[in-house]
Amino acid sequence: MAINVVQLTKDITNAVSEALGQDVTTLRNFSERQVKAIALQTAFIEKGIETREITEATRDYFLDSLEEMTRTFVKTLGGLQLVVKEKVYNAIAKTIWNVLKNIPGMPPFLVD
Amino acid sequence: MVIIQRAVAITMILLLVGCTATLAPPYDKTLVDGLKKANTEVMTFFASVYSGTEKATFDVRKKAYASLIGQFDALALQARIRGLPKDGKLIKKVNESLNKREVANLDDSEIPSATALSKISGALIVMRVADQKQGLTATEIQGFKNNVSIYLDQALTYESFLKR
Repeated sequence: MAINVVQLTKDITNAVSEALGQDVTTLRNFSERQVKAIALQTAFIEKGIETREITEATRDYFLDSLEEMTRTFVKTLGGLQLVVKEKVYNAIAKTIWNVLKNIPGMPPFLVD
Repeated sequence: MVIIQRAVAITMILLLVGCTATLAPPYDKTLVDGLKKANTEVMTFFASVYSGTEKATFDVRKKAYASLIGQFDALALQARIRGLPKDGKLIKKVNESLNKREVANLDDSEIPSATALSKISGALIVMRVADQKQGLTATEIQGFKNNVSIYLDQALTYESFLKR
């Protein structure tokens, strides 16, 4: 039995689209929210220090936190992308497996 | 020719069966529920002190600080103890890909939500120390609230995303 490459390509494309679902939108929205919030917080802290409403007791914390928040944002984005990669990888693997297991003469221990 | 095709197919199947990927920790509903509860409690706390605090009334807030810090530390621990899957070669390949795109990758010891939750606890500790020492201005409280909101968004988004 020859594998229908055109059909397999279509199946893989569909499987990837299904696996991704709303993930791309979720990632984009998360990035936009975080970038905007960090930018606003930077301006807020700058103004607070200028007006001395942010006192010496908390100033260093707030200044350091800008870098920390950015670092954890990038780490979170990396973690989210890893989940997306896992979904795509497994969707493709499952689709290919479904085609291969139907090839006549396949050893039973692989099909079951 | 047929034998070769079968051999190739069997090889591919063995590769696929052996290569189902698990690159991120499992979804934990109790952790997400705990996060939502802590989110409500910390935002309620910020609302109760929005106009600023005075050193003299610190004792009124002492218990609330302890409760919130304890909750976020516990949630960070719960997130961290799951660990990351040890899918060595695949994780390495994914990290290489992330590096090419200049996106920070994951090492074996860091789960993004656990780090974000620890940062929330850290923010509340700094806030408590300053509150006890001299009280807090309304601007400082808003600043802490903004920081906590950013970290909460990171933790909640990541943990919810693990439901797959």
